[in-house]
Amino acid sequence: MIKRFFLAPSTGEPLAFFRIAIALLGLVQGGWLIGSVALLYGPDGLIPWSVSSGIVDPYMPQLSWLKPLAAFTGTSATTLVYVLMGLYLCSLGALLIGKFTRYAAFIAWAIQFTFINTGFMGAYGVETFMHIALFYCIIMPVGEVFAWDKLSLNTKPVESEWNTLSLRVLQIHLCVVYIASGAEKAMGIQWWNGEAIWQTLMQGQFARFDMRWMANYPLFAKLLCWSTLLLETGYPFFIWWRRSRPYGYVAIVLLHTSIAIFMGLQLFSAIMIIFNTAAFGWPYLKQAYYSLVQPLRERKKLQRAGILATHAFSHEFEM
Amino acid sequence: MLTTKQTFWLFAACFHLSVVALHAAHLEEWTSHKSWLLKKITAYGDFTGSGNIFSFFAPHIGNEIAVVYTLGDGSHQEVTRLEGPNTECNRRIQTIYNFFGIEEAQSLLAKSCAAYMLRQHPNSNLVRVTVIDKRVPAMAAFRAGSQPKWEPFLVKDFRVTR
Repeated sequence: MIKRFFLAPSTGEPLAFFRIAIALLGLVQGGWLIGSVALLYGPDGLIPWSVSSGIVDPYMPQLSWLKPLAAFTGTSATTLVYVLMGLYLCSLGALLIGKFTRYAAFIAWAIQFTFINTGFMGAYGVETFMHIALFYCIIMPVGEVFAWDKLSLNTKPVESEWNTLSLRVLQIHLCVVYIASGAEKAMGIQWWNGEAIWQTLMQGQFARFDMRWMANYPLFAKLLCWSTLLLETGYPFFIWWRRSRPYGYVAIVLLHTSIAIFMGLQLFSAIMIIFNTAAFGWPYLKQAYYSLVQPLRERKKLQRAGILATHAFSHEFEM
Repeated sequence: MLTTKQTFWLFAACFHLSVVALHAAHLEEWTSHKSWLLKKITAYGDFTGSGNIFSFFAPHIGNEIAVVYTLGDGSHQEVTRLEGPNTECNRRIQTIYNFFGIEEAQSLLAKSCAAYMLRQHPNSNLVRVTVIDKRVPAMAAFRAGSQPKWEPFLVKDFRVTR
């Protein structure tokens, strides 16, 4: 039973999706922040290296380790931080296309870890999950499908037990994340009386719309809080049961989409949707592709073939 | 029957997930004494991403914190904020400012922020760091007419001494 659960062979498509989506998101995030690197991570940034290096454990890689290199080369430390950021983006590019996948994942993981250790005071959920994801990209067989390294007309995706084991780890990790997050919320009274949603949406840092009307509908705020609690604490149950899984997956994607729209946490929402899709949602995404997109493409192909045939035979037959 | 390789990786996966679960359950807060084993597990968690807690917006929502800087050079004054058009950068600045909620961090953080602003504005020789938080009334109080308001809770002045 253990062998069937953890080691039944399966394809590496969900893991390839995970690799590509994570790399893409990392590139978007890096591009978004590149103009603010000096402020957030620079030696004289908002939290200077002299402060961050005193707080972070000395065994953790951090950008202040660049100081001797800066002194040796005569380059400014800020320039080296930019160089490192460039290297990070290049490694993400390699991870995206699946070229030297494991090495690329390792470099991206090491650099991202160095950045978040230095800028730990400004890091939030998206950094946490990016760190988890990049570590998994080193360990898991994410470069077996849709990857440059495996690009050949003769190779076909092979089913492997390691794909299943990796997926199980991803799935169980997500279950722990949601149940812990739900349980922690459930310990606060604000998540039971609806104040949590109200207080959040009234903060300028999150509010994207004028939500003052919500005060007149406290039951609505309460329902939103309760449904969040239900979705998070109940996640391991509804996502494991095959029958409720598609509904659960859609519900959790909608939850994160709402967080992106109403709270402006686009990157965090995106990374959570990526984790959920790789762990549980890939078969539904694939099914949706084959039932919605594929017929459309085939219809277009047929239409084009029809036009070509009409042109080709128009001089031989009278239409 | 499992092969040696399968057994090894299965064991590794179980260990990793156990560390994830233990950290999610606030392992480090269980005891004040950090034993050798706990230190190793914490280090493993830090490096692999299995050492996180997931208390997003929990157990309650903290007040929004903002910082206003008043820069001066003896004859002119300028009131400014650090946030700009980059929303993702603003999110991180905001996350840093949230540490003002911890009393022990206030002094050091105010110094860091002041030093950064003075470096950005070399013509200024003094800066006032005003940390404010937004008090949002409960829904019932809001319906009764109470409004959200910003209140300062830390004001610190810094002067260039060079």
